[in-house]
Amino acid sequence: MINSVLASIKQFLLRHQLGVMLTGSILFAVLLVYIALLAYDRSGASSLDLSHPDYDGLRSQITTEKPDEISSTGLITEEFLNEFDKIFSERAKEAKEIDAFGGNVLSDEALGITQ
Amino acid sequence: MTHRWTVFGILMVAALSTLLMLRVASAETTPPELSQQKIQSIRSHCGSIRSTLNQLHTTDALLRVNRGQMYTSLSTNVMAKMNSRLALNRLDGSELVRVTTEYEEHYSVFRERYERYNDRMEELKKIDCTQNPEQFYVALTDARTLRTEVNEATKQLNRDIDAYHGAFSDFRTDFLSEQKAKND
Repeated sequence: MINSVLASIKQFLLRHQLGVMLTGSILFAVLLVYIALLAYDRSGASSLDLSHPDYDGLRSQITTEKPDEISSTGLITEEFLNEFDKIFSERAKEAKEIDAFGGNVLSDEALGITQ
Repeated sequence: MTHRWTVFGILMVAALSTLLMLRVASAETTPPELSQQKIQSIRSHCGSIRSTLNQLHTTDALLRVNRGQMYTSLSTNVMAKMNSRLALNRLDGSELVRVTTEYEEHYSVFRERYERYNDRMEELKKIDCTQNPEQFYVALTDARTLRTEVNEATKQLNRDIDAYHGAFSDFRTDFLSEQKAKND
């Protein structure tokens, strides 16, 4: 019984080789896309993706990364240490100048919910 | 003898039940008390609340991207390069490396917390505040708490930045003193 079913499947596959190959390729591509989308969602990349149409107006406000100012090779000199201190102080100031995710923006008062 | 075992059994069952109840009670999120006035307020302001939440969620996404870039850049382009240069010069930068490692661990905490906050905000935005104001308010309270946790993570990163700067200043003082002593 099983042998006859397997034989008919084999016969079908041999008879429709092109169709089977095309369908198989499409199914494989769909599987790969599914895995990619799953990884995109699970990794948290989706929440950082500002190419979403809703974020259209915000894309211009993304700050571009600063060019490399410090070399990982070279001697340690007083001049280099002073330069590093200056660069680090600037970066530290930039990091601390705003209270990110702070404030009471989700409070009842801010949302207009009365007691 | 049998009586003793019965008492022991009852006591064990009672202790286990108490433990189980305590666990269940702590696992449950206590819903915030909502007055009728508050429910009504959520219903009547539903449109403006949703609009504010949408706007906030969008600006938060931008803030997350910009903060993320800044924190990563500070770690890879500034701290790591300094640590590497010290190592190449066979100088002791162990304290700087230790602070950098902590900073990177705290950056992972920041990422995870933002993810949780973002997921809750997505859920919150899907709840209909006119139909389910109570459920909406529970989700809002959660989102509020998670946002505060993200804020705390950024403050921790700021403390790490200060710690790195402090460790660098100590290194510089020691290094320059040694250089001066050598030259004298």
